[in-house]
Amino acid sequence: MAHAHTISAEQPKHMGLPLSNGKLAMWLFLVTEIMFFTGLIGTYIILRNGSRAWPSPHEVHLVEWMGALNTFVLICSSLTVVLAHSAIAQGDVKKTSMYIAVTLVLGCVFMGIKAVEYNAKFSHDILPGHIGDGLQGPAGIVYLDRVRGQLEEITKSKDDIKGKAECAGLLKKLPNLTPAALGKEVKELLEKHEDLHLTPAIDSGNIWASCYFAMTGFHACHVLGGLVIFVIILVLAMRNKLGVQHTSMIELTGLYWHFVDIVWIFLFPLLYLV
Amino acid sequence: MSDDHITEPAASHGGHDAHAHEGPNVTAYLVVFSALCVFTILSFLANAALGRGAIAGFIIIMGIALCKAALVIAYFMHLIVDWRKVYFLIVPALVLGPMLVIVLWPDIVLAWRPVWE
Repeated sequence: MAHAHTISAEQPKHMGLPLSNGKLAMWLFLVTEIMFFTGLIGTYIILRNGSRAWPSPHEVHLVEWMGALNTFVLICSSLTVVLAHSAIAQGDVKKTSMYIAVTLVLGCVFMGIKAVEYNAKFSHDILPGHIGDGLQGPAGIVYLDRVRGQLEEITKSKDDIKGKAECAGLLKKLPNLTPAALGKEVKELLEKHEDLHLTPAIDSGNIWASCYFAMTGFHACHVLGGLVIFVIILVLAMRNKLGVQHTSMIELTGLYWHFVDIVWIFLFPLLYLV
Repeated sequence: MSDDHITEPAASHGGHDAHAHEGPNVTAYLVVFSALCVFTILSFLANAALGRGAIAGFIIIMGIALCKAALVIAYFMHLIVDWRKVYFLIVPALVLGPMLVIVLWPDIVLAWRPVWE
């Protein structure tokens, strides 16, 4: 007996979200990363607004144009990664490889500039726990002792150090100085002779340094993770194994990289500008 | 016997999204890139002109940062196409983020604290 074949007017039902598993997973991961960086950035905002004073970029050797350059580098890398995705979707593996290589280079440039900035902090002793702040309290005695040791080392050194005479003069005055007054003297000395190895006295300097290294350090780790993925993609390309089947992989890598860019878009003004 | 025809959406097969390259084209990407560069220069100039610590400067610079982030999210991350598919993941995080700051603000920023004499 033949059954009448009816044409169903119902829409076919779908299982799950209209989204690939990979994309859903990547967005879930990015949401956790949003919360991670929100914790860091939110803490920085709270601590900064809860402090009586906050270091200026000049005091902590932050150079605004370097931050702006890094922002530009990451924006360029975001463009190249999205162009790489566009290229692989059209099956152009050569162009994809080129764009990924450029993204990798730009990421390395970002890390290079970051290394230069970190070196400026290390060489001027702008490190958490190293900076003289809260000098009116017990930390002032510790600061006094530390600077005394540094001044003695400079004056006893046989090297031709700029500012040695001023350091000798400050060492003589030291017994009559309060920690806060010493901090001011050291600040003036460092304005004249930047390369002197003296612990600077900066209000809220230690908390600034903690926030700075936490935020930019974790961001740099994320950039490094992205660079590793780009290297993997380039290795695939060199082995002629990269193809249109990797469109999703490159899209997801791009999503991660754009997120890293967005974090820096907020870090740059918060740390360097406002 | 009725037969509910259940199909797997193409998007969940393997790793290749069926709509892999819907959305903005190369021209759109280049326009967004140019806008991002202009915004970066504007925020740098606003800082130079208004100085650090000025409220107007803060509002302008953070407003520019939000615009830049929105452009990257909408066009580079294709949320202009995918928003309806992922908004339920992103909106809670965007709510909780500012909440963290608001919750801590009274105790740490506004509260009385001792001042060294």
